[in-house]
Amino acid sequence: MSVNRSKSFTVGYVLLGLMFCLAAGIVMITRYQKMNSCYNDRPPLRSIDVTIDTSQSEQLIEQLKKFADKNGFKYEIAYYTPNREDFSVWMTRKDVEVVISSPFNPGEFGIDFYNNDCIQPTVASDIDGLLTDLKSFISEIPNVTITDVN
Amino acid sequence: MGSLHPAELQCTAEEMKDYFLRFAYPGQNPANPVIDRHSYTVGYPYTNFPMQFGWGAIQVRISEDGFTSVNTTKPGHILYDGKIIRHLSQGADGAWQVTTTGYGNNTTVNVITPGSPPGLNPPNEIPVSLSSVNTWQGVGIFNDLDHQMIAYIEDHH
Repeated sequence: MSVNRSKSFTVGYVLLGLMFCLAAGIVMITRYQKMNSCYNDRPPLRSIDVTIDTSQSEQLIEQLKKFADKNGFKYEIAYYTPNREDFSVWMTRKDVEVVISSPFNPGEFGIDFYNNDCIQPTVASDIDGLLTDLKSFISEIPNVTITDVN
Repeated sequence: MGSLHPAELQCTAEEMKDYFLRFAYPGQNPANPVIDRHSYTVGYPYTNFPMQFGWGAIQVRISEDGFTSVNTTKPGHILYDGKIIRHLSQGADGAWQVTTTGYGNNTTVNVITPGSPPGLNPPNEIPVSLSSVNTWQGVGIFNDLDHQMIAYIEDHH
């Protein structure tokens, strides 16, 4: 009798444990899906195009770094050519991602701001100040051209 | 890398540009053509299942004439840092060709680990280098994409 009761308790605990694991798994997967739901296709919140002389690449990089430091962005740069004229810069923080790249012509850069928070999405109006600040840093480069795209 | 879309299909430039944008990156759902400046997630090789944890993060740029697309891998992408350039062109015989070239630094990157999805600050990261995979499988992955594109054109043209 007591052996049967003990077996029942064991089976009950195992089932309870399995149910708990299942529930925890569902919660974790749901949360993960929510946190990543916006990453498969993200349009830019705001975009500008910047044109510089290729000899001014280092100045642009310096201004971008200043902007990143001032606004709390993690900053990464990748050079694709030995002369360091073809490069991309990524700036990320919890709410916003900024991508600077020159896909087609040397000296012509696209700068795009993206939402980086799927749960509490950043909207375009949230980054007006950031965009103004970035333009201000970049406009310190002589003869630079800045064009609003959207 | 390149692929031919036979002249007998008689595709117009506008049709080809439309098809081209439906097969801009591996794992793309052809129902949704890429849009200039959008950020996407590539699929696991030879699947349409998007890579998690930022491993497949890219930005896509499209030239004004629509004949060139550039995929730039972002930090966290397993093949960061690199660029893939796809170009659509037509030969004298009317056949269309997609040429894919890629370059980058094949650096060792800090990859965000499972359990630390994008957006978490600071994320857990581990150093990974998949340069050999890039060299070994890069051609095959984009050839597969081009084969999917040909099959799509044959089905929808």
